[in-house]
Amino acid sequence: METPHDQLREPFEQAIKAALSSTALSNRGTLASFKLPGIAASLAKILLDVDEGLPKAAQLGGELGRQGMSLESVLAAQLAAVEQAAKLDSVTDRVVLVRHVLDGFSTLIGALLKEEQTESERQRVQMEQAFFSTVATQRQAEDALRSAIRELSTPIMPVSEGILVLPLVGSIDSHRAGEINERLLEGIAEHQAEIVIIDITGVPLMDTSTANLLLMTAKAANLLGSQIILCGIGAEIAQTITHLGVDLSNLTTMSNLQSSISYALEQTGLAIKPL
Amino acid sequence: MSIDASKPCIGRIYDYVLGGHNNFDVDRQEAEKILKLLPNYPFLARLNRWFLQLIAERWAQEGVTQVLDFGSGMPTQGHFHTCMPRATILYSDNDPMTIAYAQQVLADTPQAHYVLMDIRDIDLLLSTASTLLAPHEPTAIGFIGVSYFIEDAFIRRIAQATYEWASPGSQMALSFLENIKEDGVTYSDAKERLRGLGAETYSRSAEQIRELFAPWQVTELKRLEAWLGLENSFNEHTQGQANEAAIYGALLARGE
Repeated sequence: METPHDQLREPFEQAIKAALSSTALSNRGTLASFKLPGIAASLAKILLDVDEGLPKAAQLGGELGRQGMSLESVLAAQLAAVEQAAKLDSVTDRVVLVRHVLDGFSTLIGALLKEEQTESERQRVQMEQAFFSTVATQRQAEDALRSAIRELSTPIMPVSEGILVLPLVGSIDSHRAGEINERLLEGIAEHQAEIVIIDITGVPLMDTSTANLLLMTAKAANLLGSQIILCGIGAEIAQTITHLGVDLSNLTTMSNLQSSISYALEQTGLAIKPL
Repeated sequence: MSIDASKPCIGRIYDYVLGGHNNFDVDRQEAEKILKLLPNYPFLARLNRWFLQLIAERWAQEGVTQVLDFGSGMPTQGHFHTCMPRATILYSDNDPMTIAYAQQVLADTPQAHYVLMDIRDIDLLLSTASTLLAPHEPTAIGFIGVSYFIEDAFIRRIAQATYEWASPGSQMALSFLENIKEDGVTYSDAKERLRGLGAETYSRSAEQIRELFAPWQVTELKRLEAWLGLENSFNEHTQGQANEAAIYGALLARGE
């Protein structure tokens, strides 16, 4: 059924469309400019529906808030719509329509701002969750990597019953020395080791505190009933140890891994013989 | 590809200039510094995003069934999965937080997938795409808002690899930047700021784009404001700026 304002629909729509288009770049990136003619048509229809327009204005306002229409754009549309309403010849009709248009925009803006607030809060929460989830995932990956490095940097290899070999490669700081201590004592208990060979051929440097930590490891191993053989001491480390006055008398030292294994087998009543 | 929330991220800065809230203080502060040097940035970003939506709607009308999108950013309202609900979408990005965000947003959208990959690893990306999409069917490839961060050699490699991977009838939509006017001081400061964010930018002419993307055939190419019918509004907002850039959108086709 035709309403009294149907003939105003076209000029209203065109004026609102022009206003929305000229302010398109103030909208959020989520509201594409080519959607604006459709919005202008809906807006014109709602504003001219004096009987049932307000609830629809609230609905459209919420939708526009979600889509990202700016207040600047809505106010430009409001001005354009009021200008159109003010063109009515009859003073009474003009007053009624201007008031209705302003009421419509007031409702629409209220709903838009409310929805914008909700949307902004929703995005903020999602972003925080994404941040914490990413940090947690990254931490898990780092922990797994650290654990793998730890396993690889302190490999404990049983070579015969009661004999363990711990080849060490790379520099040893106090943190790593502590890990070596922990892993070795666990390994001794697990394998019931009588002899543990620590091969430091691959260790380029060692300072006093590291040497002392290794000595403490040897003492702790002794308390568990194991004997420690230290082999592969390079010339540089030998010089450092002498220079620093570190006492290695509690340790059995051998030149290399081969002689250490032979010695360890001999100590346990075994030997490697050709077939 | 790790996360450091104390440092600004170009993807979240992009979201901020688009008016989004998927960003942190550190991003907003850096964005404001960039905006002082490049006040047109928000307008260029909007044109880019609206071009994507325009192309998505066109592809939806054409009945495109699968989309492979490069450097997707946040899958917010208006991205491919919202405009093309019937198509299978594979998004990709190299920012872990974007992926974490996407996993939440796309949790109820089974036809949209998101992978953490850099477009420069194009072979790996395409082999992943082969597991989620059907390469023997035409694919629509999104390359919007990305090409100007990629070096020539990689662009050539990406163009060649996607051409070999995609079946005849596939198409690609891309946008690219061409600098028209540069202010000596502010432009180099802006470039430096973007470089600090790992976003070196490359300006290219239409001719260079045709050459770099061969054997893809350029079927439509014009400025984004022309694609969107916003010539007047864009000129009004951007006239008289110290640095002027044109942003173009192109559609490319993979022939037989």
